[in-house]
Amino acid sequence: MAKLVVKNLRKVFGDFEAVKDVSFEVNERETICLLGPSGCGKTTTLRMIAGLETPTSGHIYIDDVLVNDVPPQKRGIGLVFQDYAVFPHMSVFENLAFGLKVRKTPKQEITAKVDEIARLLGLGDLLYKSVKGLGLSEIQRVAIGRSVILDPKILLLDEPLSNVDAKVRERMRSELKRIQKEIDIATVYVTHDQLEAMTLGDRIAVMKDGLIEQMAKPDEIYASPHTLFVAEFIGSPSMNLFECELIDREGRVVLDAKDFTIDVTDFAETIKDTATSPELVVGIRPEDIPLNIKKVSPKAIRGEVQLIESLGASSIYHLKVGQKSLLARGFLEVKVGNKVWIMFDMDKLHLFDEKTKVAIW
Amino acid sequence: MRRLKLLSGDLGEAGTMVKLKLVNVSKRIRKEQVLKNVTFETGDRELFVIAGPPGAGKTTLLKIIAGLVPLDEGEVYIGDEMVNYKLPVEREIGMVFETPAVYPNRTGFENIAFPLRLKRLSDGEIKKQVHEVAEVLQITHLLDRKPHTYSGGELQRVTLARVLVRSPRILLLDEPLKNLDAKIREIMRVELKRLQREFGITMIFTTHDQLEAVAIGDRIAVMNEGVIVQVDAPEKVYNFPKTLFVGRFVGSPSMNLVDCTFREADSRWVLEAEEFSIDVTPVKDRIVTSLTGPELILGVRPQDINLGEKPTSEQSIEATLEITQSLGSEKIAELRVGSILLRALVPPSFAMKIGEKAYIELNREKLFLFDKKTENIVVHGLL
Amino acid sequence: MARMEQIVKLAARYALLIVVLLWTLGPVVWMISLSLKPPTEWYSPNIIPEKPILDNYINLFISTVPIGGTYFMTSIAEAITRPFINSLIIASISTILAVSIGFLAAYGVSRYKAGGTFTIFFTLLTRMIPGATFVAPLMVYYATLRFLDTYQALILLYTAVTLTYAIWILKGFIDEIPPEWEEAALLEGAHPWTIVTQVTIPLIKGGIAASALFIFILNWTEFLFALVISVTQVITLPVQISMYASAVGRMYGSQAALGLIATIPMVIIGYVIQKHLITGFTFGRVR
Repeated sequence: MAKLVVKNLRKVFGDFEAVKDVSFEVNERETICLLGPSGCGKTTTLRMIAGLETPTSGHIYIDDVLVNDVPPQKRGIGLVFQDYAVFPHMSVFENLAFGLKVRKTPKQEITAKVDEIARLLGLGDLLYKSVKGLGLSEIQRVAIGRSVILDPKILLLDEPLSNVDAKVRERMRSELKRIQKEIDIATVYVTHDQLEAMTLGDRIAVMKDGLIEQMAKPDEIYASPHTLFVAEFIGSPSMNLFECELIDREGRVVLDAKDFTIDVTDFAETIKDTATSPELVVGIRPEDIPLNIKKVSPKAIRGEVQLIESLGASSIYHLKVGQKSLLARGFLEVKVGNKVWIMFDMDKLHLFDEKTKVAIW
Repeated sequence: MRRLKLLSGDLGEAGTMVKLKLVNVSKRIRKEQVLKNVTFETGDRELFVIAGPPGAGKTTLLKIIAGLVPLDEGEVYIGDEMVNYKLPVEREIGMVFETPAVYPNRTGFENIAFPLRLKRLSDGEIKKQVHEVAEVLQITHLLDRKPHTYSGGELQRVTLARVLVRSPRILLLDEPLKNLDAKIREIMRVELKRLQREFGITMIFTTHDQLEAVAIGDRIAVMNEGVIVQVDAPEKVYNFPKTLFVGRFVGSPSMNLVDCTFREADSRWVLEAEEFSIDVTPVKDRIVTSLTGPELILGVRPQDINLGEKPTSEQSIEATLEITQSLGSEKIAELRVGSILLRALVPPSFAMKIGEKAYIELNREKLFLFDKKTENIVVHGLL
Repeated sequence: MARMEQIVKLAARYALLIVVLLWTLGPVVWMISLSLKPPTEWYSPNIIPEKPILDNYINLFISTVPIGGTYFMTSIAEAITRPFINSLIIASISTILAVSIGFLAAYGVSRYKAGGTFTIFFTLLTRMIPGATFVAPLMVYYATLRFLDTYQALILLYTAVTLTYAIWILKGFIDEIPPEWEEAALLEGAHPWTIVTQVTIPLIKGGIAASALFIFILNWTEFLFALVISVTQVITLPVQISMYASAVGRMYGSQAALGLIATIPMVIIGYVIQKHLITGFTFGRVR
C-alpha cells in the first residue's frame, strides 16, 4: 500500500504531449526524484499530483484514494515551489502558523506544533524574527516548514534549489538531506540536476519526453543504466559513448569502433543473444578510464590531450583517439598536446543496442 | 572549426597584445562601496575568470570595464591604452550579459546583424559576415527563426554570434552559463573554452560557480565583497589558497574547517581541537612566524580525509558516521567528531553503515592552517 | 451521488453567468433595438423591431426637428456632427500627446530613476484628488486667460490629467524589458535615441497600444471639465448627449442611437489594435 500511486498519467496541451505515460509508486518515508532535462514533463507530472493540472488520462491515488477530482487543498499534500512562497513581512512563527490559523486550530496547539517543526528544522532561534532579513537556506526551511506543518501525506518540491548559487546550493543540499531524515514523509522532488537527484533521492525516475526511462536507486542507475539517455544523463562528466560493430575477427569476437577495437570474446554469447543487430554503442564513464603516460599494456590505446579541465583534486582530459573524442578523469602531469595511453576497464563497460537504445551489458 | 578571417586579421598582426589591466578601481553605489581598489592584469589571449559569490561586485566590475558604468577611482587599460574616457563602442569590447541580449521580435539573422546595421555596412556585407559567424557557431539553422523557439544553449550561441560578429578585442561574459540546465552547463563551458582558443581572444567571464572557474580558466581571480582576494592559476588557487575565504570557496565539496589552538604541551607543539590534537612540532617555526595569535583554523578538503574501520595510527581520530550521500562515482560521508561535522569523499565501495564508528586519517601534506582573526593562510601542509 | 452534485454545481455556475450576461449586455441589446424602432414601437417589449428604420441615426446628424414631431420636443436640438468631430480632435490629440510625453517620462523614470522615488509617487497622488474640487478655480483661471471654449484648453487639460496614467502604464512595460538588451546595443555603438526607437519601442508595442486605448477612452468620455470649459464652439460629445437628452425628453429612439454612435470610435480603435494588445501582453519572454 504505497502512499502515492501514479498510474498511466497522460497530459496533452493542445497538440503537445507533455506527459505520455507515467506510472510509479512512492512509499511512506521514501523520496522519489523526478529527474530530467527541461521539457521532459517532470514539472507537469508534479503539478498533476498536486492537483494544479488535470490529467488528460490516468489515475492518481493518495493513500489508496483516487484523487483525480479532488481539489489541491483537500489532497493532503505539501508543496514547496521554486521561489519559496513565504510571506516576507511576517515573522517565521506567523508564517509557520498561517495554515493552522486558517483552519482555526486552537492557539495552544498552534504554538506546540510550530515549536516542534521549528526545532526539527533548526529555526528555533529565528521564530520571532521577520522573514525579510533571513538568508536563502533559512527561507527554504521556512517554506518547507509551512508545507509540512499541516501533516501532509506527501511532500512535493519543484526544483527548490535551481535559483540558488553553487556554493549555497551545496550547503542546502546537505541540509535538505538532513531535514528529509527528520521529517520522513513520502516526497516527490523535481530537478534537472543529476547530482541533486543522486544525493537526495532514495529512488530516481529519469524522464525524457514525457516518459520514465528508468526508475531505480541512485547506485543502480549509475552502475547499470538501462538506456542510452540515462547513461548519458547521469554522471558528471557524461559517459563516453561510441558506435561500434560486433564482428568476428580471426577467431576472436571484437567490438570494432574504427579507431580502436575491444576484445569481447569472453562475453560474446550474452551479447549475441540480446542484441538485435551487430550495431552497438559502447559506453564507458570518464572515471573508469585508467590513464597512463606510458604504454603499460599491449591493449592500451593512444590518445592526445586536446583540452584539460582541472577540477582541483582531479582533472577532466579531453582526448582525441583517432577520430573520436573521449573524456577521461584522473590525475596526470600532462599538458595539452601530450600523448597518453588509456585502457578500458571491462567491468565498467556498458553496451547498448544502437536501434533500441537499451542496455545489453 | 575554422578561424574567423576577420578576427585573425585584427589580432594576428605585429603581436598586438590585448591584455586588460585594472589599477585601483573603486566604485560606490549609493552608500555601498561595491568595488574596493580592484587591481589585476590579464594575460594576452587568456581565459580569465572572475569567481565570487553573488553580491561580490562582479557584474559592476564588468560593466565598468565595458564602459557602461563610470568608475569613481582608478584606471582601466586595454592593450596599453587607458580607456577611462572612451565610449563603450570605442573600446571594442564584446559583452554577453546574464540575460541573453536576443530580441524576441527579430529573427536570429536580424539579431546577429544588429551591430552591423549600426555600423551601416552594406546588406551584402552584413549577410556575408552573419553567415560566417553562424557557421562557426553552428547556428545557421537558427537564422530564419525567432528566439522563442530556441533552447537555452542555442540562445547563448546566438548571443555569442552577435558579439563575435564585431570582432571585439576582448570578450566579457557575465555569468553566461547561469540560467542553463546542469548538463548543458557542463557542455557549454567546454564550448566556451574551445571558442576562446579557436578565436584566440582574451576572454573574461564571471561566475559564482567555482567549478566552472577552475575547470576552464587559465587564471582565476577570486572576488568577495568588492575585493579581489587572490589571482592565480586554478591549481595554485586550489592548493595554495591565500585566505580562508578562498580555501572554502574553491573546491567541491567545501573544505572542512575546525577551530583549534596552537600551544605547547609536554615540550611538543600541538594544534588542539575540541576532540583531537595534531602534533606539529616539525613545522613549528613556519607556523610561529605567520600567526597573530594562538587561535587558528584547520582546513582539510574532503578528498584528503581517509576513512577506515579500524585505527591505522596513533593519530587516527574516532568519528561516528552520520550520513552518506551517493554521487555516482564517489560518495560523501558525513562524520561527527564531538560537536564538529566533517565531510569526506569515499569510493563507491564504501559500505559502512550509519551510526558505526569510523577512523579518520588526515593527509598531513594537504592540511591548511588559517589565522582565525585575519583569516589569512598561515601554513600549507604540515610536514 | 457525487455526479448529481457536479451537475447541480455546473447548472448553478451557468445560471450565474447568464444573469451576469443579461445584466451587462441586456441594456446594450435594448439600445440597439430601440435605435432601430419607429416611435410607435418605443414602448413595445419586442426586441426585434417590426418596422426597422434608420431615421433615428440619420436625424442626429441633421439639425432638424427630431422624429415624433414637436410634440416631444422641449427645445431645438443641434446636429451632432460638430460635437462628434470636436471630441475626435480633442481626444485624439490629447491621447497622442499624453502617450508620447508619457513614454519619455516613463523611460526616464524606469532607466534613469528620474525624479527619485518621490516624484513618480507624487504624480499619482495628484490623480487622487476629485476633479470637482478644482473645476471652479480652473474655470476662473481659464476665463482670465481667455482660454475658455477653445480646443487648446481641453487638449492641454486632458493631456495633463492622463499623462500620469500614461507614465504609470508605460513604465510597467518598460520595466519588463531587461536593461541588458539596451546595454548590449549601447555597447555596439547605438545612440541612446536609436536604442529607444529600434529596441525599446518595438518591444513594447502592445503596451503603447494598451495605454493609448485606455487614455483615449478616458478622454472621449470625459464630461465634467468639458461641460464647464466648452461653451458653444468646442462642445464635446458627452456634453452634447446630455444636452440632447434634456432637449428631446422622451425621444428614446434618437437617444439610443446617439448613445451607440458615441461608442463607435472606441470600438473601432479597440478592434484595430487588438492584435497588438495580445502580442503586447504575451511578450514572448524567452527563458
